[in-house]
Amino acid sequence: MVLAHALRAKFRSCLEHFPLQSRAKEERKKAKPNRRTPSPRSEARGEILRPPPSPSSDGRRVQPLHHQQIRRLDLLQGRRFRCLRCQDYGSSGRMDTNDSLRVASLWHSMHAISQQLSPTVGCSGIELLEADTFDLHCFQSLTGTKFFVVCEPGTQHMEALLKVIYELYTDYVLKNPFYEMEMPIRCELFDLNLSQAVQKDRVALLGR
Amino acid sequence: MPTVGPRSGDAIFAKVERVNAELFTLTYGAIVRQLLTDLEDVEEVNKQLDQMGYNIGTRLIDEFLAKANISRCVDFKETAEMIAKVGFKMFLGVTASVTNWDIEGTCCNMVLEENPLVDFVELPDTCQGLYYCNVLCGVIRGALEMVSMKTEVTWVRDVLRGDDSYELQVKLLKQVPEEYPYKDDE
Repeated sequence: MVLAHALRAKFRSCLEHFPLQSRAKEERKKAKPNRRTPSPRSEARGEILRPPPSPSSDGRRVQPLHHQQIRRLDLLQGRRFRCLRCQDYGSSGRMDTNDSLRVASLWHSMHAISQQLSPTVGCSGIELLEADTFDLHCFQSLTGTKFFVVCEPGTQHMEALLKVIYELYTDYVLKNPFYEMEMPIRCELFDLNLSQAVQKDRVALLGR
Repeated sequence: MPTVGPRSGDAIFAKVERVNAELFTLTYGAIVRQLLTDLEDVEEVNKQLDQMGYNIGTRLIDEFLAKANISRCVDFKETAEMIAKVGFKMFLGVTASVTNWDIEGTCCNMVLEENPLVDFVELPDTCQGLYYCNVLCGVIRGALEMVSMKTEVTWVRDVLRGDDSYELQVKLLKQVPEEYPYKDDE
């Protein structure tokens, strides 16, 4: 589907080609599925990325990154479209704070667009984005907070991990009386438990 | 996605960590007493209790959604049932019943069978306008606001004021779906 390709391409281009330029707002406006001309950003950097010339064509070839890690980062987004927390677990391809914030706001916009454009009624947004070099799983709570994790393609049980992270969030972040709602999360207990949850998962996966 | 259905209030209540009920009652009583000493005006205390409840509710809703594993409610009737059967049970260990629906289905009353906040409490004459459990109104209002429902929650009957039961009125004012910061150009 054209929409899936366009969204995938947009997100992949941002995630895999660093540093991102600060055009998040324009990206939001430009993230329409039926755009036929390449966006100015991709042209400026001479990417081989192009929107598909016809709906039936498959695609796009982007040079794969060399990362071996199981997962890259978890980002939380509050209701006011802000990235509250992001964590890199991989050994390569780390993003700095600004890049993470841009990716987070881009993802929020794409999630919103996908809800409006979905052919099924009552769609709650993108849950899984599969690309050649990564998978992105997203979980949205009924309160609008989104949790997403970027991992290697084909990683199992990410939904369960996201639910565990949601419970950790409700415990160590929301129940901390000194945490202000919608602000970036700086709770040590949350970080600690989050690392433990991810490590446990990684051990389980590596032990296959 | 997990296929586990919503858990019942009893099941969750059995699993969560619990605290001594008397400690809870004493702590809440200390809060109300302190507010009365600080603010001296009963109406102000009512407002403060509601505000405190609101702050609690905005945080509690995620806990509720995470532990109770429920999906989006179809209409306000289902929401009210969830609050009464699962919510109250999970957090206070008591069940409430939902009564008195209006024609449009936007306003109902919840009757609490018991209220752990008010064990051993009697209101003196100097505090006659006080809604001792006003924090509960704030909690429900705050929680529902985080799931895009603006509501108004008030006490209809209060045992400490001479009635025979605790009855809350929950009125849905409007549904506020999430807005996004950009508009469609086309």
